[in-house]
Amino acid sequence: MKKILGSILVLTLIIATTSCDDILDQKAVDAFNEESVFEDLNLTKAYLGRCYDYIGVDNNMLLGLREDLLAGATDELLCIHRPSGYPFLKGIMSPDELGHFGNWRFNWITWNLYSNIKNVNVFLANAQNVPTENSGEEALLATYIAEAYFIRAFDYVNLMRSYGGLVLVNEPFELGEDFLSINRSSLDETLDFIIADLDKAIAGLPTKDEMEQGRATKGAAAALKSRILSWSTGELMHGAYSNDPLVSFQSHSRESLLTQAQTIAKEIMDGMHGDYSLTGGTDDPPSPLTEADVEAYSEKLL
Amino acid sequence: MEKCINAKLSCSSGWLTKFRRVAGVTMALLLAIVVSVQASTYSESVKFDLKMKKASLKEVFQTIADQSEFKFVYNNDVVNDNQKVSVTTEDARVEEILNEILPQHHLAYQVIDRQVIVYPEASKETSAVSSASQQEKSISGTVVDEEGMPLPGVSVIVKGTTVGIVTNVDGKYNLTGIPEDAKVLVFSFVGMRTQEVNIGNKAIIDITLEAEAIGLEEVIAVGYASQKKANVVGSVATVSGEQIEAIPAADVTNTLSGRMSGVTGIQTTGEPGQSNATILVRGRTTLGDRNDNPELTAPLVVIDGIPGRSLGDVDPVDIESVSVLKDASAAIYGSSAANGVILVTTKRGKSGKPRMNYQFYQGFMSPTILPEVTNAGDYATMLSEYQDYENKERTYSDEDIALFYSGRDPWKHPNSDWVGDLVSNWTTTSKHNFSIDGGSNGMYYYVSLGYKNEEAIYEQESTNYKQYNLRAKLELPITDWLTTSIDYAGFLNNKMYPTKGAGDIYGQSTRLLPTRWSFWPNGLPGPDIEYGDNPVVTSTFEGGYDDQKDYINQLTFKATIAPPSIKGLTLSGYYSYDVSNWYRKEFRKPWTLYTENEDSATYDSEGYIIDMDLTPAKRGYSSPELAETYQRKIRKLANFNFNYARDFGEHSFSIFGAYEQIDQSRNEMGAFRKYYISDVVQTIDAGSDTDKDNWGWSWIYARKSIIGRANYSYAGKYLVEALFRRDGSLKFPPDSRWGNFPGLMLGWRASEESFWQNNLSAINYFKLKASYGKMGMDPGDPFQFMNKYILGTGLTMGSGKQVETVVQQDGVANPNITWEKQTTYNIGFESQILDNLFSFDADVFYSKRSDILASRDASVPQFTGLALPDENIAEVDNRGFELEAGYHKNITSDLRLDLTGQFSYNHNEVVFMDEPERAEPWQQRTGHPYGAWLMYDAIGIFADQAAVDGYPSWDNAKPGDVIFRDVDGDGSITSDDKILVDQTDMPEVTYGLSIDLDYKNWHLSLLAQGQGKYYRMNIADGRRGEAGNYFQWSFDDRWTPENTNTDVARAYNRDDLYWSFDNNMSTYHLDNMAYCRLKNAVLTYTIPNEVFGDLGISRAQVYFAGNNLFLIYAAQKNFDPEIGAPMNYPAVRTLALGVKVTF
Repeated sequence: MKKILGSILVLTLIIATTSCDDILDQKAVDAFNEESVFEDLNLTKAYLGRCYDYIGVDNNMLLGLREDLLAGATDELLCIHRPSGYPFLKGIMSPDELGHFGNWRFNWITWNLYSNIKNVNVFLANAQNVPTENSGEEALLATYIAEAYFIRAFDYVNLMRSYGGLVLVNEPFELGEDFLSINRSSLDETLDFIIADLDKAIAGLPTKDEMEQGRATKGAAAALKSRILSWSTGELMHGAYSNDPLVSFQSHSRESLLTQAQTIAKEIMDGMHGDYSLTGGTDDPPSPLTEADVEAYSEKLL
Repeated sequence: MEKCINAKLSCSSGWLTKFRRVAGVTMALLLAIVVSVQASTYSESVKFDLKMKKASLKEVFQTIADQSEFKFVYNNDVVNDNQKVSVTTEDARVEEILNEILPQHHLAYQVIDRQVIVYPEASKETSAVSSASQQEKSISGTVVDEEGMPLPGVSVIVKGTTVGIVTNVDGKYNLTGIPEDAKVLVFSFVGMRTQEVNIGNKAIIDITLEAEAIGLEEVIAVGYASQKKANVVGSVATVSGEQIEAIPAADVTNTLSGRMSGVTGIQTTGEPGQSNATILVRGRTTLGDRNDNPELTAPLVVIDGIPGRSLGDVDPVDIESVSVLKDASAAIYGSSAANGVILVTTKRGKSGKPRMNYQFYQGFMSPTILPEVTNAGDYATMLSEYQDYENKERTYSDEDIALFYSGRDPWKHPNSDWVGDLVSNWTTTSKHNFSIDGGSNGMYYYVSLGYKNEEAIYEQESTNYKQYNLRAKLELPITDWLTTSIDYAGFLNNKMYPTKGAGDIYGQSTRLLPTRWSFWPNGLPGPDIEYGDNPVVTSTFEGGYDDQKDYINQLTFKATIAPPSIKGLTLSGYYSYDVSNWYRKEFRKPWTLYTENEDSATYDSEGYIIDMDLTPAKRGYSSPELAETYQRKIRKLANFNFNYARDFGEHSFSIFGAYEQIDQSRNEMGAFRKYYISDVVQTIDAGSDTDKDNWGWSWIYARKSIIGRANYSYAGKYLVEALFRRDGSLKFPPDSRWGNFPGLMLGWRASEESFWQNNLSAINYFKLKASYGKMGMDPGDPFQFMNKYILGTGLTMGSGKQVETVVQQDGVANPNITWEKQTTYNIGFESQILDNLFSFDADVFYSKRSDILASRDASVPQFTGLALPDENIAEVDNRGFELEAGYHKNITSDLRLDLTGQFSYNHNEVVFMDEPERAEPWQQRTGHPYGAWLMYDAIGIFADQAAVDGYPSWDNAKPGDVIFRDVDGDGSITSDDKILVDQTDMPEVTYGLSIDLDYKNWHLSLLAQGQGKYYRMNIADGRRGEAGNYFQWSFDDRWTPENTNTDVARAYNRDDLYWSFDNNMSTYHLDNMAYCRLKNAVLTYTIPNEVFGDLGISRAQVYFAGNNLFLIYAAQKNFDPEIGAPMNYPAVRTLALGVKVTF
C-alpha cells in the first residue's frame, strides 16, 4: 500500500514539475516582434507594403475613392445614399459640422494620417539596420527607404493642404514621452520638411520603368514636389487670409516658390526623372469631342 | 402501548419537525474521506471531564457534542429544557455519563458509532402489541441511510391514518395493526427526504432514506470546497438544481435571474441557440459594454471545479446546485474573479440500487410581445403628412391611401403584414432526459443523456437548435484510502440558421413597407427594398443555410488519497482536458423574388388588376458560395491539492493548499469559394478557383496559480477564513506577470452566545459577517507587452494582380501592462427567526476596481500616430446592497408554504478614465456610471408656432418637433445642452419573489422577477419613413395640427428632422425598461404510487410549466422590456407539459 501511495506521489510531483515551467513562457503564436521584422528584408518590404496601404489612413477608404467624393458628390450622378444632405454639398460646412470631412470617409485628409506617418517613422528608424547580404539587397533596401520618404511626404502634403503648419515628426514616439510640449511648426518649416523628404525620395527612387507598377517612382516624387510648391504659391498662404505663421508663409516668397515649382516641373517634362513626355503636339489645343466620341463614351459608361 | 404511540403521532403535527438531529448531514462527505473507526473504538477513545450543575439534559448533550464527534438524536417531546441534571465526571466515557443522568428521567440510549439515540425507556420495545384483528396486517423492515447505516427514530406511518411507529436503534421496525385497505407507508425523518412506498402484498419493506440538506445544514460550494451554510462567511447566493430543472427555458442562464440576490440576468434575443442571458454579478465594476465585450463584465463560470466552461454546456437536469460568490469569497479564484464567480456542481451517483429517471416536456413557444408597426393605410397617411409639411412631392395620393385602407386593389395597393407573415402563432420546443444512478461501498455512478430541440418562431420551418448531451460520472474506490473518479461530459450543439441573421430577418419585417408585397396575391414572394431582404423568404433555407455544429468534450480524472496514518489529511489531484471542435458550413445561394410586370396585367370591370405575370429575379448573392470554418479549442487544467482538517476540542482548523495550471489554445481555419455551378455538391473543391479565399488564426493563454485557504472556528461561534491566490498570467511580461490576491472573511454566530439565547431567543440563528478581498482580471489580448507585428493582406502591386502580404504593427507595446484589481468590502448578516419560520439576510458592499485597462486618450495627442495600448489607468467604484427574506411554514400537515424574496441594488461610478476636459461640467463622464450617454434632454413637443417661438429651439423647428431643454440657459440649443443620462444599458435594481406551495400531491412553484428603471432606445433604425415602416407608437397620438397636446412628435422621414436619433440623440428616443414579470411557474402533481401498483415506479409526476409567462408591470409595453430592442428577435413565452418518472 505504501508503495502505491509513494508511486502516486512521485508521479504527481513529476507531472507537476515537468509541466509547470514552460506554460507561461510561450511565444506569441500570431505575431512577430519588432526585431524579427527588421531582420529580414522580405518582412521589411512587407512592412513597407502596409505603409502603402495606409497612405490614405486605411486601405478600404484609400484616398477617398468612394461614391461620396466621386461623381456622386456632384450633380453628375445621383448617389443613392441621399447626398443632398451632405453638408459640403449644401454649403453649410462649419468647424462644428464637417460632415464627411469630419468622419472616416474622408480620413485621407484628416489628422488620422498621423497613424501612417508613425508607420513610416517606425520603418525609417529600423530600416537602416536591416542586414543585407549583397549589393543587390543593399540597393533594394535603399529603394525601400526612398519609398518610405515619398509616403511620408505624400501624407504630409495632404495634411498641409488641409491644416497648414503641422506637428513635424520624424522618429517613432514612445509611450510616456512628454507629448504636450510638442507644438505645430510654421508653414515654412512644414514645407521645408516635406521638400527635404521629397529630395531624398527623388534621389533614391528609380525611374518608372525600373519600378514595379504601383510603387513610388522618381518621377512621382518630383511631381509631388512640384505640386506642393505650386500649391504653396497661393495668395491665401501669403497673408491674404491671415498672417499667422501656421497658415501663412513668412520667409518663402511666392516668386521663389513658383520658380522652384516650375523648375522641377520642367525637369519632369524634360525626362530628367524618368522617361516622361507629352503625347501629341503641344502646338494645337486638342479638338473638342465629336458627337461620335460622346456616344462612344456614354456607351462605355452604360 | 399501540394506543400510546398512535396518540403521540396524532397529538402533534409538528412531531416530525421537532425531532431534531443535532448532527450535520455532512456525515456522508466526512465518511467518504475519513477512514471510519469502529463504533466501540470511538466511544472508548473519547473521554470527558464534565462539571455541570442543574444543567438541562440538552445542555449536557450539547457540551458532549461540542467536545467530540458525537451526535445526539432525540425527540423534543422526550427531551426538554426542564430535565435538569447535575453531573461531575473525570475521564469518563459517554456511556458512563449517560448511565448516570438518563435513568432519573426515565430515558434510555444507544450508541451507534458517533450517534447517540435517546428515547423513553418504554419505547425501546418497538414491537407494538398487536390486537390481532383479522382485518389488520403487519409489516416489518429496516431503514438505512445512504451509507447503509441503520437509521433509528424514523417515523413509519400508514398514510392517511394515525397508525405508526418509530424505528429502533438498529433501524428496524415492525408495524402492526395496519388496516387491510392501507396502501402506502410514509417514512420520514428530519434531514431526510420523505419517502412513500406502496404496501401491495409486501410483508417486509426495507428502504434507504436520502439526506435532504436544507436551511443551515445545506452544504454549498464555495470554491475548491463546500461548507455548511451556517459556516459560510462569504456572501454566497445559491440555487438548487431542483428549483430550475423543470423550467422550460433555453438554458441555465435564463433560469437564474430573480432567484439569487446580486445576480442579474438579461436576455437580449430569443433566437434559438443565441438566447442565453448575460449574467452580471453585482452589476458592473469596470468599463466595458456587456454586449460589445462580454469578456470584460462576465463572471467566471466554474463547472465541477473547472474554470472557463460555459453555462450553456450543462443540462439543468444534471445540476445539483449553483452558487455565486459575490464578495471576497471569490478571491480564491484570484485573477479571474473580479466579476464574481458562478460555481456549478453537477449531480453524482447516490447510494442504492440503480435508479432510473426519465423526464420530458413538450413546450409551445410564442413571442411575449411583438412590436406593432403601422398598416398600409396608416403608414401612407403618416408619410403623406410629413411630405405635406415639407412641401415635398407625395408618394401616395389620397386615392392611394383610400385604396390601402379598403383593400379593394391588392395587386397595386396591398396591405402587407410583414411581421404576421413571418412570425408563427406558436412553435415548439421539447426536451428529454434519461439518467441512471446508484452505487454502494464508495463506488457510485451517474449517467445522464439529454436531448433538446428548439424551433424558431418563423412560419416556415427553418432555424432550429438541437442539443444532445451526455454526462457520466464514475467514482471508483481503489483502496480504503485511495479513491478515483472519472467525469465526462459531451455535447453536440447543433444550430441551423438561414444565411441571414435574425436581426436582418426579424428586424426587416418591422421595417419593410406595408404598401409593398410580402406575398403577391397569387402567393409568390414580393420584392425587397435592398439586399434581397424579404423576410418571408430569407427566413427559410431558400438562400442556403448556416449550419453550426459544436462538439464539446470535457473529461476530468481525479484521485484522492486519505493517508490512514495522518488523520484529517487528504491529498487530491485532478486533470481535465476539454476539447471542442466547432464546425460551420455556410452554403449561400441566390433566391428568387418577384416584381410586377404591369404590361401583362388583366383588369376587372372597375379597372383593378385581377392577375398579372410577375418577373422573377435572383436576389441576395451573386452566385452560390460556400464558406467552411473549423475551430478547435483546448483547455488543459491540472490541480494538485491537500486539505487538512482537525478539531481540537472547541477549536476547528482546516487548511487547504493547491497548485493549479491552465493551458488553453484555439485555432481556426476557414476556406471560401464561390461560383458553384450546381448546389448538389456542396464541398469546397466544387467551387471555382476565382475569388477563392482562406483564413486562419490561433490564440493561446496560460495561467499558473498557487491557492490557499485556512479556516478556523471556535465553538462554531467565531469563524475566520483566509484566502490567498497567486496567479501568473501569460498575458503579462515575465517580470510582472505574478499577482497576489488575498481575502479575509470573519463571521460571528452571535446566536450561539448564551446572552443571545437568553435574551433574543426569538432569533434562533444570527450570523454577522464581514469580508475584505482583492481580486483581479486579465482581459484583453495576450502579449500586449511587446510590439507585435501581424500579417495582413495589402494592395496589389505590379501587373500580376497579386495581393501582397504585408506586415503591420499591431498597436504599441505597453511593457507595464498588468492586472485589473478589485478590492471588495462586504458586511452582512444572516438570520433565522422563530425557529426558522422567517429568514432575513442582508449584505452591503463596496468595490473599487483600479488599474482598469483603458487607453490614455486625453493625454496622448493624435499626432503621435500611436495606436494606444490599453493601460492600467481607469478606476470605477461600485456600491450597493442585497436583501433576502424568507418565510417557511407548514400550515397544516398537508400544506406547506415557502416564500423567498430578494432585492438587489448597485450603482457604479467612473472615478477616473483619462477624460479630456469637457465643454460643460455636466458633460464630464467621470463621476457617472459607465455607459452614461450624452444626449439632449427632450422635454416635450412643440404644440404650435407660439410654442416654437417661445422657447429656444433648433433652426427650422416646427410645431410637432421635439423640444430640447436649454440646459445652459443661453437661449439657444447647442451641443452644450447635452446631458449625461445615467441608466442606459443596465438596471441598478433587480428583485425577485419566489413562492413554493405544497398541498398534498400538488406542488406549485412561482417566480416573479423584475428590474428597476433603465433606458433602452425605442428606435434604432434611421430609415423609417420613405424607406421603412413606422412603429405604431410613432403613429398613435402623434402631433398633427388637430392633435397638438401630445408627447408623440409629428410625422417624420428617415433622419431628415433635427431630432432623429442619428442626428441629435435625445431622451425622446429612450424608454424606461422597468418591469416585473411572472418569470416562470411550475405546477407539479405527484401521482399517488398506489395507482401504479407493482410496476416498479417509485415516483411519477406530471407538470405544467411556463416561462416568461406575463408582465405584471412594465413601464412600456410596446416591446419586451428585457430584450429592450424592438428590432431584435423577440423573447418567447413557453408553456410546457412534462412528466418525470423514477423507476
